Amino acid sequence: MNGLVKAEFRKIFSTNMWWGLLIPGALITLGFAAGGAWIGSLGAQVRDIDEQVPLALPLFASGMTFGTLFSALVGVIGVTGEYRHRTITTTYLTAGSRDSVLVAKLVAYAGLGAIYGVASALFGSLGAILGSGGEGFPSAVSWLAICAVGVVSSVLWAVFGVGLGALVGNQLGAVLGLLLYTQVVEGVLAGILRSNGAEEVPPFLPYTAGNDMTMDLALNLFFGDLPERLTNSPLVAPLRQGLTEAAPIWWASALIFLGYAVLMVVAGSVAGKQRDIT
Amino acid sequence: MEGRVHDGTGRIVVQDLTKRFGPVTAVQNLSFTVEPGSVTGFLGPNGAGKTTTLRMLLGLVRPSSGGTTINGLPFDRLGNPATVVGAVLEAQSFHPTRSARAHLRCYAAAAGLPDERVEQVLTLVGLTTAANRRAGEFSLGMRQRLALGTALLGDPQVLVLDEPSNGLDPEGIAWLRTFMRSFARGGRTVLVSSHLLAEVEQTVDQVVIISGGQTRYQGPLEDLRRSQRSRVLVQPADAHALVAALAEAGLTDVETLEDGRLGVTGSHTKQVADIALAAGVAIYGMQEEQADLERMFLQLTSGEPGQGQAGGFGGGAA
Repeated sequence: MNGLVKAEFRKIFSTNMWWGLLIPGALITLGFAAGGAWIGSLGAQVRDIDEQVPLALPLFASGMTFGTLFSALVGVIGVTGEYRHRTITTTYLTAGSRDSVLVAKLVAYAGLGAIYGVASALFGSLGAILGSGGEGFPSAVSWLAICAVGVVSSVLWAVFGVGLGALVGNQLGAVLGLLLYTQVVEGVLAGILRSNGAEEVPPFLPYTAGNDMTMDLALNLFFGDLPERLTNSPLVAPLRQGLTEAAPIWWASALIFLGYAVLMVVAGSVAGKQRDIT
Repeated sequence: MEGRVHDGTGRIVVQDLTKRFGPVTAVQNLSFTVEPGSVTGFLGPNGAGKTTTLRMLLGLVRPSSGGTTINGLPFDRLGNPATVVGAVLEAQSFHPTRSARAHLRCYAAAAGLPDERVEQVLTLVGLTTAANRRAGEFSLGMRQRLALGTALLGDPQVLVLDEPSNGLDPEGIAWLRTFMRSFARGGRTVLVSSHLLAEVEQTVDQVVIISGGQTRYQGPLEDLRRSQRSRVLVQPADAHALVAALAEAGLTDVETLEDGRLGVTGSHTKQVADIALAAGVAIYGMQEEQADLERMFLQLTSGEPGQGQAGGFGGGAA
């Protein structure tokens, strides 16, 4: 088993893909942490009240959630690349079983997901510093908590990606499926659910759950760190309620997403064992 | 490890193997055995089911029914398969931007082999100077060498090659023939597929000929060659008299061809000429048909299902 894991790491680091996805992932994390896309509205409202709110934390967290998409992509592309380049034949000929190959890939890509997570934390921190001008930072403990959860989320997304890749096999199909689902389908689905009175369902969807594990913690820390005069403000209180109470607590979201990742891996294992390599 | 308890014989057994892809039956009740210490040719026209059979043997394709063993075990129970069987298959490839050395190091790690083995294999297949080049830049011949090097990493007892001559230059083909022979001479097993008998005729001792997903012939190539007896085509002045004279000499397998000539099986020109002279029958023309393996191969592989086996070629059908 150790040999198979070593083989997977050698495969990863002997082509350009690992840094070819790491760099854009890190830069996008930096960009979102600096620009703070959706957090803009929150920022505008909070800034109306006080200039000194520690907005850097939610900015940083939102950047990291965008970065995790690249961890999923590297898992998907890494696994399906074996089918695309027809190396899967040799891989299966040098392994005791197909499941042992899948487990080795899970270990290796979880490790790569951790590397992506750390890079995302570093570049996200840099982006938050640039975006907020070095002001409005919370305690180091809060910051490190977001880093840690972000790295865990990155690992889980890589595992999810490996499972998805093993399930689909076809590289283009798996990549398009991942991007379309996370960036379009789930948003539309959530909208439909909300407008039909099922607003409690969207937090249980995979992409939302995967993001919420980091975002919900960041928002709770953010609102918790606000001075008392602000938390009691008629502007902040409903905002807090709307943003944090719609989603389950961060670790519950993490467990929900872990469930999806495990489900994907099991499906990938079943599909992988059925597949004829011709 | 449970998987290590194979019997170590190097024998390949294919038993009642059937594979259906949807409505298409690629392989039907195929059975044959490949013994160690010889090079066995696995022959049949394109689409006969050779590749599918080899992929089932190697655990890459799941049989619809039947099974295969190597060393007495199915592939998925071999434990560390790279040390038992190495394979060069069509549609097996390399990552285009990974170097040959890096490729081999990946699979050496997977099989639990030391990195020195990679250097040994690179030397063995003559790729040492190209080792750091990307596999995507390789010629077809170099790719075949790299594929063979990958197959040999685990120093396997059994070597399976699917149409290995494709893309090789004459020099590469000659090298591969020598390699296969010496590999088998050491008591190991080589199973090599081809759609051309002539391509492997000089290399193989045994042949398994399949067509339409079924076995047509299995046995020593020599028996197949011997079963094809030569035939003399003769144009006599008096066919009747010659047939009688031939019968007197014990040659009864005589047929009249469409063009009026006689086909005398199991004889040679000198004997027929002597008989004709003794009987006083003038001969206007005579020629001897050579035992043509390729023609025989074509007959075996183009016949209706079942015909080849019913034909019974000597002791070869064992």
